[in-house]
Amino acid sequence: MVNSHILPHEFEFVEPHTLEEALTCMAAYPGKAQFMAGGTDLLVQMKMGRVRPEVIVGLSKIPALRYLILDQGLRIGALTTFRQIERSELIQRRYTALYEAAMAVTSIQIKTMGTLGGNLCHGSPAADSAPPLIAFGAEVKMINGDRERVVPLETFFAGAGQTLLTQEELMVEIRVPEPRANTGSAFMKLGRVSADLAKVSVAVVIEREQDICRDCKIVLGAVAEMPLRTKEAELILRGKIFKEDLVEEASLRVSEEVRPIDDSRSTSWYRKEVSRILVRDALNLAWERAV
Amino acid sequence: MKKQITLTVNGVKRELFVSPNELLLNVLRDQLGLTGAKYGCGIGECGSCTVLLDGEPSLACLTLAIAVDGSEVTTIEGLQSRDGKLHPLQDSFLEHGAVQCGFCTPGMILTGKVLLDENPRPTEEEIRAYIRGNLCRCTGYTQIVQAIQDASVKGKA
Repeated sequence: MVNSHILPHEFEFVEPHTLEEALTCMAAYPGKAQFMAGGTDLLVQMKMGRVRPEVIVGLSKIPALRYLILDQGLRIGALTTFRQIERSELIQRRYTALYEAAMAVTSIQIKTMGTLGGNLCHGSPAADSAPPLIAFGAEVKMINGDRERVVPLETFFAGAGQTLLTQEELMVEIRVPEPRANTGSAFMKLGRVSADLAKVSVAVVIEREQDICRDCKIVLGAVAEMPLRTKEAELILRGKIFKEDLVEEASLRVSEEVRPIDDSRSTSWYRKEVSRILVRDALNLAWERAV
Repeated sequence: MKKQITLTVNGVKRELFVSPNELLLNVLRDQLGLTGAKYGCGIGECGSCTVLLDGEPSLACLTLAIAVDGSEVTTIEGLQSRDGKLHPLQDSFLEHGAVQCGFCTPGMILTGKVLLDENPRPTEEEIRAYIRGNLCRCTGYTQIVQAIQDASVKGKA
C-alpha cells in the first residue's frame, strides 16, 4: 500500500550552489541520482514508488537558474516558477498564452513551488507550459559537463513521461523568440475543476495581416503521448482570410489529428469533442488579440 | 544520516536534526508538535498542509525539511498575536461560521492571508480562484469566501 504521508526510502541529499557543482554531483553518482527542482512531481513519484533515487541533487539554491531576461525574445532560467511567470507584465502582454498557462496551473501553492524547467522535464503530456512554449517556437538549452545543446521544445518530448534529456543532463534555459508584430495568442484548458490537471489544453499563436492569417500555430496538451502540434489544421488557415467556416474546418481537423486516450480524467471521445471547441475559441481569441 | 538545520518557525529559531527523507510537515507535526497543518492527500492536491515558507504559500507535504534549511515558516499557530489575540481573518472565519470539521481551515486561512496581503480588496471571483487549491468538503465554500471578503472589506486583515 502506498502511504503518501512519508517518503519511505532513504536517500542522500546534496545541494549545489552553482551549475558546475550540480553537474559534478550528478556525474559522481551515475544512474543513481536525480535532479529536483520544485519537487512537486518528483516527490509524488517517490511517494507512489514509481522512482527511487539513491541521491537527490536539489537545484533550488542555484541562483544562476532563476531569471527572466528580455533579450531579443525571452530567456527564462529553468528554475523560474509559475508564480514569477504570472507576475510578469511583459509576459502577460507579449506572450499572453504563456501567462494564461501559468495562471491555469492547478493552485497557488503549486505555482509557487513548481518551475518551468521541472514542468517540461517531467515530460507529462498534460504539462501546462508546453503548448504555449511550443506554439511560440521556444528552444531549450541543456548542459552536461562542458557540452551543451539547444533543441526546439517541439522535438524535446519523446513519449509519456519521456524527454530527450539524459540522466546526467540539466535543462538550464528556455528561450522564446520575440513574436512578430501583429501576433496574438491564447491558452485554454479544460479540467474537471480549475484546480485539476488538464483533460485537454490548447495554445494558439496567430500572426495577422489585416484580414489574413499570415501564420498560426496550434498546439494541444493531454491529447496524445506528448504535447502535439496539429500541423494539418494550421495549413488550413495559413495565408488565408480568417473566416468562421475556415476556423470551423481547422478545429474539426484538429479533432481528427489528435490521438487521445481514455484515462481517469476523461475519455478519448470526449477529448476529441472538446479539442474542437477549445481550438475554435482559442483561435478566435488569439485573432482578436492580434492587433 | 541526520543533518542539523535551522528553521525560524512562527518567529522562533529552532535547531532541528532531520533525515533527508523527512518532510517539512512531519517535522512540524512530530518534532515541534505544531499539528495545525494537516496531512490530507499527501500529493499536492488538497492544500490542507499549506504553510507559509518565507511568506509564500507552500505545501509542507511536498517539501523536504532539509531543503528549506534557513527558511522562515509560518503555520496557523503563528498567526495570532503574542497576547493570544486572533488574526482578523481568524475572527472573520468564526463570525461567518466558515469552519465545520476544521480540517481545511488552517491551510485555507493561510492562503486567504496571502491573498489579502497581496490584494486587500479581492472580488468573490478572485477569492475563489486564489483558494482553489484548498479543498473543503464540508462548507460548500460560501461562508469561507464571505469570511475572506468581509475581512477585506473591514480592512482588518
